[in-house]
Amino acid sequence: MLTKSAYFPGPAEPAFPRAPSSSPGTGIESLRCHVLQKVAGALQEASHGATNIQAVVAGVEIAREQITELFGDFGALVDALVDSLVLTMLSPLQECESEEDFVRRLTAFGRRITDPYGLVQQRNLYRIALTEAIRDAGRGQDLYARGPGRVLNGLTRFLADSRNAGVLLQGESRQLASHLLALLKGCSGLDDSFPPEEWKDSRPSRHVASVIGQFLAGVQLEMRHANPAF
Amino acid sequence: MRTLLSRTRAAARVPDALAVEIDANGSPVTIDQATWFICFVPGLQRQWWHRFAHAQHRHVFAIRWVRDDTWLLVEPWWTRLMVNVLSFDEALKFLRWGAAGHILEVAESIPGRGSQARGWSNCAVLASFLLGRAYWTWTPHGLYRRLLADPTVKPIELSEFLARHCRQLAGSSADALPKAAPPHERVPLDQALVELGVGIMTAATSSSAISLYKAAISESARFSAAAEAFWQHGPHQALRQICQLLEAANARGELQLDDCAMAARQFLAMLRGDLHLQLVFGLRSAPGAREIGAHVASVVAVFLHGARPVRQAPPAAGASMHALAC
Repeated sequence: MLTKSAYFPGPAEPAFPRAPSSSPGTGIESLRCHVLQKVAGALQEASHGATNIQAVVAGVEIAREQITELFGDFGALVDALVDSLVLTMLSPLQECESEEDFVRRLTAFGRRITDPYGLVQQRNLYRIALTEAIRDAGRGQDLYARGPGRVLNGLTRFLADSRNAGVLLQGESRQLASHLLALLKGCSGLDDSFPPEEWKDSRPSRHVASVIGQFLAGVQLEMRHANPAF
Repeated sequence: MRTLLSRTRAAARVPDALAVEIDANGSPVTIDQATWFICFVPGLQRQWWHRFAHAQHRHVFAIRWVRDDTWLLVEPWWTRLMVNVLSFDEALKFLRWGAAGHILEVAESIPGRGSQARGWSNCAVLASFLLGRAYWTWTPHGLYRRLLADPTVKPIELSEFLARHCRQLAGSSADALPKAAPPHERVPLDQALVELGVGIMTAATSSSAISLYKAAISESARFSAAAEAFWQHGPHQALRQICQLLEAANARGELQLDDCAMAARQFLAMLRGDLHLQLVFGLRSAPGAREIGAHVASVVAVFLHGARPVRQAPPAAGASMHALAC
């Protein structure tokens, strides 16, 4: 039988990395990493409705020429920021070794999605991406595929692999992934990026363990399946 | 007033194929007088003639709301006349440009007093012609002054208009949500959530709602009253209804939620899910009734029972979930 501690694991997960995950290598890579850190920091500070990346970059005194030299253009800079966030979020979703490991990995993933540091960046990048989608539908589709689509695919794959390894889940993996992401967004205020004052809890990641529990068990009072997966 | 073309056919020798009914103005269809937003704007890109033009009125274009999510744009370029149908989120980008100068609400004249023989057709002349006006003005600013002198013309304050417009559109979607069953009609919780969820998703996935959502997110900082109007009359109404359902179920002992408002928020987020994201980013068209039904059923199942297989029917109300889960 799945124990309470498996549903509600402890808070021993790593915090959201404070820097983009790309590791510095050559001079150019190191410079790119430095610029990404600065822009990510600016996105973190831009609490009021950033809708284009140029304005964000202008606020951190990075020359347009430097962006062009390092990334090609501002669109590629947005792509790099999205890639960095997505890689960080998906990193806990490796192959799980046991039922408890499955829940622990889901919880670590949830903490990365709802970490306050990443949340503001996500909100601002979402608004920037959506504004670009209005201006250019094709660009919007690219950004979906690079960001939310990739996270959904990664979580879907993890759920499907875990099921193949014996974790008991019912429902189609992609739908379950969509539901879990929505539950996490719902508890972190990511479901709506406005009005900004609507969301007051500054530590949504505290709720993550209970959200994972809710995803697995639901909110209705009833008997759970008794057979352990492993 | 309608007349029959066939009455004049004999004199004019019109072929039978053209024997269509026309109205008093000679049109096959009588179309009501439309009201346009005429936008006098600064230039977005530097042009040689800008030095001769008013700083805020270097260009003029016309845009109008047709219905729901349909806007019509007429913008004279130097090289062509752009006529396009836009969604609200797209139209808002042009309206924002308009607000950088001035926007006037102008009713077109039918049949109008303009003339095709007017001559050189720059943006001001073409806008004047669109409105059926016979003004002899060559510049956007000249047209602006002539229109402003017309007592039927109203200046538009964009943020007020948008708040009104968003309230109206979001309100009509909220009105379409299913009403909660009266207390004496006890509907099972899962059925009630499915019915409400289908209503919410039908409203939230319409092209009008998606445009409104995109505009509200993208422009929330600039037009906060409009975003607030959308929020209050759209998602907030849905949240309130979900919350009422959950509170009633809590009171009956079917649920044991500490925070029904948070649970309602999560349920709404699940309803939207990836489906809503795909619509927002233009990856697909609005889902049909069957797809919405299947999606909502899956959401309700996971929300109530979780992703784990359920073994038995629910036990008596009031039992502890933790006691059963462990």
